Amino acid sequence: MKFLSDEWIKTAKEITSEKLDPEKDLKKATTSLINVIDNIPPDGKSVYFYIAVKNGIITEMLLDQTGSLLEKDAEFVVTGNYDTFVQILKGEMGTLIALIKNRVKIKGDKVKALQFVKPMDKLNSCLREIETEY
Amino acid sequence: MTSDKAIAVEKISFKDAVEIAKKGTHCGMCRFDFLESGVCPAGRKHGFLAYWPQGRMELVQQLDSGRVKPTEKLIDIVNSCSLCGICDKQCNFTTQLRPEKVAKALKDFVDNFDKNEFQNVSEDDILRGLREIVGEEWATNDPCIIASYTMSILPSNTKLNYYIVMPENTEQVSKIIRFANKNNIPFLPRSGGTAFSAAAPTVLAKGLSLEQGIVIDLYRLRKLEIHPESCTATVGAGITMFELQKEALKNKLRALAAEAGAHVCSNIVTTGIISTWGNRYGAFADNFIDLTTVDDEGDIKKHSDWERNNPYSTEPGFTNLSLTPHNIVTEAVVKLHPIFDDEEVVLVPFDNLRDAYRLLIKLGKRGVGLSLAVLSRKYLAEFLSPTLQISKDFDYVCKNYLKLNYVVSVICNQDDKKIVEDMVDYTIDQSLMKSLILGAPRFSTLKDSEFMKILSEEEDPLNAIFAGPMRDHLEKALDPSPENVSKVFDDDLQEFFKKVYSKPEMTDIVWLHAFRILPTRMLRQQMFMGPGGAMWTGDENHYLNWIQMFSDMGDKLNVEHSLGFITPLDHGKFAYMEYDYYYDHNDPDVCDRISKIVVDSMEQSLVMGKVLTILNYLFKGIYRKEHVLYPLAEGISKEEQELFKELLETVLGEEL
Repeated sequence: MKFLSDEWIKTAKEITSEKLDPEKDLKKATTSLINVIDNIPPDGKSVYFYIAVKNGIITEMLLDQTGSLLEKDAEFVVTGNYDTFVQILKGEMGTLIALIKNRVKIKGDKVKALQFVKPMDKLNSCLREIETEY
Repeated sequence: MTSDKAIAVEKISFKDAVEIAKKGTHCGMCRFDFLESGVCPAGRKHGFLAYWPQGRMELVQQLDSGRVKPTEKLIDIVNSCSLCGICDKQCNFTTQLRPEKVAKALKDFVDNFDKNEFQNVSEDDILRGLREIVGEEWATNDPCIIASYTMSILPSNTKLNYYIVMPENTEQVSKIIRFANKNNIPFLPRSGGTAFSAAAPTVLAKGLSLEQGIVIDLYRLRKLEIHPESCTATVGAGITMFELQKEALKNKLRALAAEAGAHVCSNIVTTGIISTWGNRYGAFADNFIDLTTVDDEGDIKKHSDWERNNPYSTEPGFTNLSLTPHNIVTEAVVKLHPIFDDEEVVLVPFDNLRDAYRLLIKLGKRGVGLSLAVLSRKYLAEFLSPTLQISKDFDYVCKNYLKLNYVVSVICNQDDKKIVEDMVDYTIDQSLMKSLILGAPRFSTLKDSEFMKILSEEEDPLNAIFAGPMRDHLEKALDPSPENVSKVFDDDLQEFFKKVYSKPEMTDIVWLHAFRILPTRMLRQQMFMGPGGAMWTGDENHYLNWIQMFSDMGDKLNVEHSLGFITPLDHGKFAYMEYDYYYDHNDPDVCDRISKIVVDSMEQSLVMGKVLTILNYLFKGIYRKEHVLYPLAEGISKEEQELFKELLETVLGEEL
């Protein structure tokens, strides 16, 4: 299914809720972040992908093209190009490598963000199981 | 077309050429004229690395490994080389290699290659787009050209899924970035490439290199203007430190300069120009008046734009890590500094580091000297010795007989010279240094001297040799002359090196400090990795324990190591230290150990506190030192240490 389509989001919600252990995988984390995915082909638009986690349980996964999700005041805002997010989701590039190579920019407390890197990598590994058309 | 000279080039097999090429250091010294021998005409004309001696050496390795197959472009690459021999002169001076033999072997390889087997390369839409921006000639997806960039920006284990593009101005850089973003292609600028080449065989390669995409080679941005009236220079991103220094000197001015082959703009971005002149001339944003940058959106900005957000600040803390630049600096207006008529070098020899460090910091805080550093015995031996073997013997004599383990090197005017001389019992002056350069081969033979063995039994051999009449005897015994030093080079190069060593600047320590053509000699032992950073100097024991930590790590992991240099910053309140590990970059086992040292030393440095590690230093050069060095970093907590370990494990984990 098409990456970031409604169907993809629906499947992502299902698969993460089914496969991710709140304690083992998501470390009982409580946080929220918006991924701002820029330059999406073919027209170069941006998409906002919001994820909220409470005590290791994903409570919200939302998609928006208008930027209105920014009003949700997420703890972290991660911005990068479409291709970078695809590389991360495919497991070709780690989130931290993307960060130190300046492929993504992060707004928020960096020390705190680092605590969420491993849970986020687990989340990405889980999303990788979706048969996705990029 | 082959010149008559070409016939004389010794023919070697391709396999032998590969062995020479493997020792290639990617130092880039073949890309500017530091010996007045001229510079590779093919490289100058075509620009791409494959046309330079350095790139040809890399290409030979890549062809041998099978990573790249010959393309039609390879014919053009080998034909562009007339075997003029300039590269041999330059490379032999620093590394004793003979790249011309490699070039000749590559020619033979191409001559004997079945022309029907050449790989076809076709132009795709991306290449077409890039060529529209820079012109047909200056963008390529040819694998032979791409392969030549391995180890100096590209890792050795990726597919050659790249484009190389050579813009000639800031506007073109901006257009390339916009084009790359539009097509979702990653990009990375390349200047000298030496910093990456030192890290390429280690765990850092993953973070520093480009895994696919567009390499923006900045060599063609070659603007260089000196403005004597304002003591500034405008420097394009393709200009090396040597080239800037040379032009500045014509106006009796001096730039704060890193190694000769470092590109000025990229060095500003990468580390803010680390140099022994930093205590006087400044660090980080002290070094420039203005920068022209292109950000990752392709927007062109100047630091001097009054309406822009503060470009000089950066966030503090150990999490502020970046292994690629935030901006491409395409042009810098740098500060230049006056040269005094009475400048001279004074070196104070020491047997122990504590005393050397103490003098250095005292001088730094008092603002004495223009260039100020503790140099290790290893540095002294490497810099002054024309061959690796001589440097090893030189080092042996200093260590075992003279107990000369460190020198505090001071470039200063006569007033400061008096201050230094009043503070110490004896010094090494310009005259003796000149004799050590021209007499290095003879000095190294003292390894077998009975007299030196007797001298070493003196309570203070340094005092015996430098404070009394022995000094003059030593100078005479060295029999220093350009002729004698040139004899250690290959027969066919001896006449050339006799002329080189006859030039006053080649034995002028002030010139050598400013132009820094000798540090590349450290690479002839293969490669070195120099972690370190800047530490607060308020606690002498803390500082020396930090250095000891690096030494212990080298011992523990069985890697040859030595302190490189220490130089004060910000009026002696901080001091930058480089600790060097020497290793064979073709040996995966030692590369793994170097990787471990890089990571472990950073972790331990952060735990110690009051230090800005080299990894935190990287890509902070455009910010104010006040934002980079302050607030003084406290040691990280146990919790943060765990987090840091986890961070590195995530980033670099599997490879450690």
